[in-house]
Amino acid sequence: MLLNFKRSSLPALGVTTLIMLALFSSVPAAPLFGQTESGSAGAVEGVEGAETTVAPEAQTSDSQPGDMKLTTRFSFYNHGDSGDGNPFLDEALTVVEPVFIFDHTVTDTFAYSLDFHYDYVSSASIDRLSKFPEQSGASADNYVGFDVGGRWKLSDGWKVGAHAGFSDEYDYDSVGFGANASRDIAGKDATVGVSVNAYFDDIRVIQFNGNEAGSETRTSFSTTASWYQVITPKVHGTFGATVSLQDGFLSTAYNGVVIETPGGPSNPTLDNNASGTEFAEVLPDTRMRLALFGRVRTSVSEGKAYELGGRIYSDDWGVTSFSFEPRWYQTLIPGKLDSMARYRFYTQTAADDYEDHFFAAEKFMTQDSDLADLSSHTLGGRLTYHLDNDDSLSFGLDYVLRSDGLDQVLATFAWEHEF
Amino acid sequence: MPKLRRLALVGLLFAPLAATGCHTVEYYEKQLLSDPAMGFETDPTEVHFQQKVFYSMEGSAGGIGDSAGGGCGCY
Repeated sequence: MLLNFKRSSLPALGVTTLIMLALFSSVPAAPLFGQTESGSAGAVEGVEGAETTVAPEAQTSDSQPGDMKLTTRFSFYNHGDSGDGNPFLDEALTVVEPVFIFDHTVTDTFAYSLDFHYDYVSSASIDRLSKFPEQSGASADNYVGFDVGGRWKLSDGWKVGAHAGFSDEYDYDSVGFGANASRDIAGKDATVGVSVNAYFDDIRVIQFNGNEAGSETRTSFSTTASWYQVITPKVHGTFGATVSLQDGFLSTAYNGVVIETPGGPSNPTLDNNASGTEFAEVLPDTRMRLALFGRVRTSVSEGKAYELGGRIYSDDWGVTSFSFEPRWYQTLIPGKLDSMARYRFYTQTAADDYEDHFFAAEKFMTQDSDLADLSSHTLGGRLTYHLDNDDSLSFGLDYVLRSDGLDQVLATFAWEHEF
Repeated sequence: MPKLRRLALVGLLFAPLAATGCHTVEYYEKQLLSDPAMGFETDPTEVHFQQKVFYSMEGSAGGIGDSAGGGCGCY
């Protein structure tokens, strides 16, 4: 699908992306690519939890041919609806998600991974759809995804990777492709990388009232440039920028917008019985996003370190956000038990088309709480217990306190087994 | 949009730095950097979950893993 950008600010970002790509593509050669400590691919892979990318090569140990690893993670996510957020709708949500990733280093120069994930999603919006006979299959949403990835060491310096996958839901399916390249420079004190990803989605437009308004498509491209740098013998950090472009149907099909009629009869289909009529959310069909992020970790002493991370984000829908995430890492029992504690502050401005109250239809309109003014504080941590050289267990728990009352609980349990 | 343009300019400033890199520490000085407490984890299963939660429940995306939206339905 061709992108059709309409906003005046987009060309500047497009030029930025091209320049960054050109710069990265001209970096001289050095060694690279290998398994990270936890077995994911190369230097442009994501870093768990924190808002950054880049796996620092200085911190990784290459896997040996024949090594295999299976990572299994069960995650739980829940938030209730305290009546804040969107007052017209019940926004309660629960997600249970198992993920399985098998990773196999085949030779010195090739490895692959298989990724299967499943989500069971139970939400008030899905419950609503289930009341309509034609959408009886929407009593819960089941998301299934599969991804295959390969990694290659091309020469004494370059590492590249590629992946392809698909995912499917009741009202949605997607095909995705991606590629990445990275290399060490400056005597392995720095690693630079670039990745590109593209997703092609088909959406059945099932609206809040069960009506099916045909199907739509959505295309998403993102490019991430990343940089890892050893700064001193006790300090290193990762930095990066992600530019993403989306085109097509970007509204959330089942989201409604209430146009109020003060003094009119109450509407019993609304959560607060307000006076008004519900219409489908309408949002622009293009979106460009830019995120700049980084984290710097400092060793306090052996087994103890702290990290400062953050992200600045802006898009052409008017959302600007900032996050700050300090972390503390401590080895509690050497070789056996590691811990991490974190705090995350997040704040964002509302999208241009967001309003708490509408009294007349507008070209674009949304009451999605996630596009409103918002701030949150997250407190959490993780414990990792190494059973032996081949097995480890990890338990993570986070609590998100949101300014709109949609507080969240996130829990994960993971088992990693090496063959 | 001015804010977006400003961020783009910051991105331009970062790019040349990333392309050059700096050799600051000799290999024999990197013992503490190899400490498990200093490792930047890349567990893809946790990245997957964090992306889904934060990308779908906040208005912003990017910076977790190497993608920023798409391929994931909204909750």
